Amino acid sequence: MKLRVNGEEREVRAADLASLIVELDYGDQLIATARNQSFVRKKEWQDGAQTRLADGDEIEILVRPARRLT
Amino acid sequence: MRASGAEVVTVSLRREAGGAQAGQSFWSLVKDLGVRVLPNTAGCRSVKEAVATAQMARDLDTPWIKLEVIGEDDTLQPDVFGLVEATRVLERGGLSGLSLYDRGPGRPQKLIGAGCKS
Repeated sequence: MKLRVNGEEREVRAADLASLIVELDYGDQLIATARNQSFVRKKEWQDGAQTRLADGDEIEILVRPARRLT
Repeated sequence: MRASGAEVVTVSLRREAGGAQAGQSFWSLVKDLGVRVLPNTAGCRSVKEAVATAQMARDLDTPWIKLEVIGEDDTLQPDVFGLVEATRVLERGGLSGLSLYDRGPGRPQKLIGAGCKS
């Protein structure tokens, strides 16, 4: 499906927010998310059933900045 | 930043913290300067967007947030009413301790009245 992720159009395979975060390779970074301009708490997006995605959804994913580059 | 003697640097959270690797070098540079980082909600054009961004910032364990809601695309002047509403929404949701910097006449008092802390 097509989503807008951090302002960019993307074609993704993921069906829910948790799968999307894996697909976009965020690993174990501390992140915060919003879907269609509504904040999604971590315990909500970790439960895939609560955050099913729909075509055209706008997703924002913010990463907690690392202190130093590795 | 060193030459200015600034102790606080405000940074767009969405621009610098979006993407798996985006902005990490910039954040690293700012952190290495030893200044306090004040994330802001630059780029938000609605109360809903600013509120979601501020909530995301808190979820990232950032104690300070500078609320911004764009009122005019040409001048980037703030939507003052939107700022007050966003502050009230966040306060009702239990997100307190918002920081504020605003030079507009009368605006600081209104925003402090809505719940901003400085």
